[in-house]
Amino acid sequence: MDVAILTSLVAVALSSGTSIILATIGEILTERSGVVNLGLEGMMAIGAVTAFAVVYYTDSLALGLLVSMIAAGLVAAVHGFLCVVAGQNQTLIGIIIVTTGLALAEFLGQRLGPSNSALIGVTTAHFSPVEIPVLSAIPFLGKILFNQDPVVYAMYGVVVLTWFYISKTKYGLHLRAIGENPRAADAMGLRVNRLRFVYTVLGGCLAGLGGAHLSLAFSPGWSNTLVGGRGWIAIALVIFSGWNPVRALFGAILFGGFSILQFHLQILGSAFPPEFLAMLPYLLTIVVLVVVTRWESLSKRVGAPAALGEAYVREK
Amino acid sequence: MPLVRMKGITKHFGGIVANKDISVDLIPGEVHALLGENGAGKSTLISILSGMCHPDGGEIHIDGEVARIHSPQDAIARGIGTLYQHFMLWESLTVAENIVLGSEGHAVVLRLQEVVDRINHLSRNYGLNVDPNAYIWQLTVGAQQRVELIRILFHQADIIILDEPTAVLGPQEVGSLGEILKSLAAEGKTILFVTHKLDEVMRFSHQVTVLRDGRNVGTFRTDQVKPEQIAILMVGHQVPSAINTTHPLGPTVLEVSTLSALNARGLPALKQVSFTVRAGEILGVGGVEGNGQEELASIITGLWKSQSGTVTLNGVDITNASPSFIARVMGYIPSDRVGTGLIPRLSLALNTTLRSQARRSGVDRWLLDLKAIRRRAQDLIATYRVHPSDPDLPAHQLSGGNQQRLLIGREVSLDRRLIIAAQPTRGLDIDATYQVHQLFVDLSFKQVAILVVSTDLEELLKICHRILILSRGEIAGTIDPDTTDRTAIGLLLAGQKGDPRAV
Repeated sequence: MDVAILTSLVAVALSSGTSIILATIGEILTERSGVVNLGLEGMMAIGAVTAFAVVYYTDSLALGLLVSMIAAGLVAAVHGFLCVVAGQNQTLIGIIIVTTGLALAEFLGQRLGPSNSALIGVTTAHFSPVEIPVLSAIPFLGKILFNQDPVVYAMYGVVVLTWFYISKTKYGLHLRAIGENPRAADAMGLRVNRLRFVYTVLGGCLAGLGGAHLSLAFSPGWSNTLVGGRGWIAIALVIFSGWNPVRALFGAILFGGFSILQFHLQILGSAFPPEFLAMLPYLLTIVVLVVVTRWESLSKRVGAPAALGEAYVREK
Repeated sequence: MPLVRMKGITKHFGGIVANKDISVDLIPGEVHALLGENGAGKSTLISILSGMCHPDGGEIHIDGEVARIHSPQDAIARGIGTLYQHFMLWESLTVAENIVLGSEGHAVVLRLQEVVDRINHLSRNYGLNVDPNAYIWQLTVGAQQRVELIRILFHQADIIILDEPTAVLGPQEVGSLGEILKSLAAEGKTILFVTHKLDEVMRFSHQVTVLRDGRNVGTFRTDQVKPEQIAILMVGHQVPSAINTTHPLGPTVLEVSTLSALNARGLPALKQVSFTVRAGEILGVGGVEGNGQEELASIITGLWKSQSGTVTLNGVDITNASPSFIARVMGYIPSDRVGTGLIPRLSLALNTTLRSQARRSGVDRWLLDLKAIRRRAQDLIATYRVHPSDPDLPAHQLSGGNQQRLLIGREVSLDRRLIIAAQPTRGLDIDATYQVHQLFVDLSFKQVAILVVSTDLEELLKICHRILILSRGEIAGTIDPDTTDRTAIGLLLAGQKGDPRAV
């Protein structure tokens, strides 16, 4: 394959994986605090549709991103209230949020368009790649990493910052402590449930931002199938990455790569039915991740936060 | 002049009185032992002092003024450091991260190198050997306890409370902890040391307060009181001490031959271990915890796989047989009483059925005969004096001693010719321990073979015919309880090869 084609393929894979990375990073923060949020798919859809509608009416891309985070953050706050404050079953609430979130996004998509009609087929302002001088001149990597849209650049920052935050700062240590042994964290004076609520909302905000990248940059526009299972892939990535933001990045690019590849295979024409090709990215990502983690877990200890999914209630 | 005065502390839980008008004074530079049976109110009293629960009545004075301790943070702010029985540690964090947590200061970015330096300094000064960069999950229980102690010193506590710190330690570790406590006291720290072991009180404390049924039944200078006096105060009556184990032994029941295995971390846990247990014999397996004892019990009971070697029961090879097969041929009393031994949320009655697939236990092919199960459970509860005796109560509501009686009762009633017991009296009080010992001895008279794994050497010396000492996965030597002297045993525990007056 031509280097130029390969470069552009990997660059598109990165753009395609950005929404997943953002949602995965959000979920890592939430799960490190001890809360499982299965509702990512719904929150991404809410983020995508609200961002798109806001840009349609205001032409402000920044406002679109902001609103997507607020809207998905509010949905996450519902999850946080029910699971952290009220101590309800996190799996059940998460699934309810997925179905409700998707239905709500679909409803908004039908109504927020011009004169109460659908947003589907509407076009608005959207993000385009911004080439960064000097850096984009780096052979191969420059064209992949530094000729992307601004949300992708923001994503780089989110990955590095989150890694630094979790492993090097005081608050990151607190985050790990409340997810691992909330009772001991409580005894040390940390407000376990308040922090868990905050990280649940923060996780939702990042999922919303991921959704906004889909509707404003990667595939500008709104359709009911826009998110298309990326929220679920993000949840799988959290586990396969061992709750580590940097490793999650590679998993997301992998998925992005496979989905671009199947798209090209469809265009080139293949013996397989297109529906089958559409399954490939999901299947291949999971297969690769299973193999890699199996191979690796012997040498490294990749464990879930010990108190993951358990509501914390102080003993009397 | 006492630094801490607890005056008239009273605490009720529902209708039960846990502490009734308890007054205790703690003097700087002294180790004060708090002695009592399980349920005497020791834990409640120290949770009040460490801010984990609030008293219904009474006052705490620190340095002459009334101290209101409403939370663990209040206690820490008052200079009180507590070593809890259940460690307050984070397995996935490093030692340094565990220690600094909650006192990181104002800087947002952690300065772990400074913390590591301070930990190294403290561990050198007090002989608390620990690697600041190790993860907690990599450490033995003893090392985890040292981490807790360093954390208390790191927070510069003047008042140090230790809740049954020796319960998880081997005899040597108990000795060195005692020395550390004495040296901390010599530096002027105020130490409250909770235990139910009399010999530790006599060895390590300056003063002792005895609790019984939630009351203070006496405070003494340790050097002015006899252990027998305290024992009677603590239990309320006299406890017989000698146990008779002289009876003829039968043929070999269990034979373990050149057994080798890895532990959960993939490191060698057992190396070429061979021994036999005869009918009617109580064989002890001792040594410092973490030297292969748990793995040995797990392999014999089918819960862990060996790498090489054989286990034979009455001549039949049962090496690496399935746990369900092994459940039919031997009784097992695991060290993890609630978890492996019993199912905490299940009723006593259903817990008694767990190991028996036979019809008579009420477990028919498909349906539970609940009436028969309850009837049988009631018999078992009465025979083994489990209290409270309601068979419908969930197992987690029983005290440790009663859980153990239920568990032992269930395993013994299976009528197997071999019983494997791991740490059978850990956490039990004097009375309950004596009953367990007596039960084992009675079984051995009936020609049941018993393998007892225990870190409590006194216990093994009391009831066993022979004791194997495991050190780094190897049999370091065999002890005859009647003839081997203490120095030789100490050398064996330290891992010195040799067979002092082997049997």
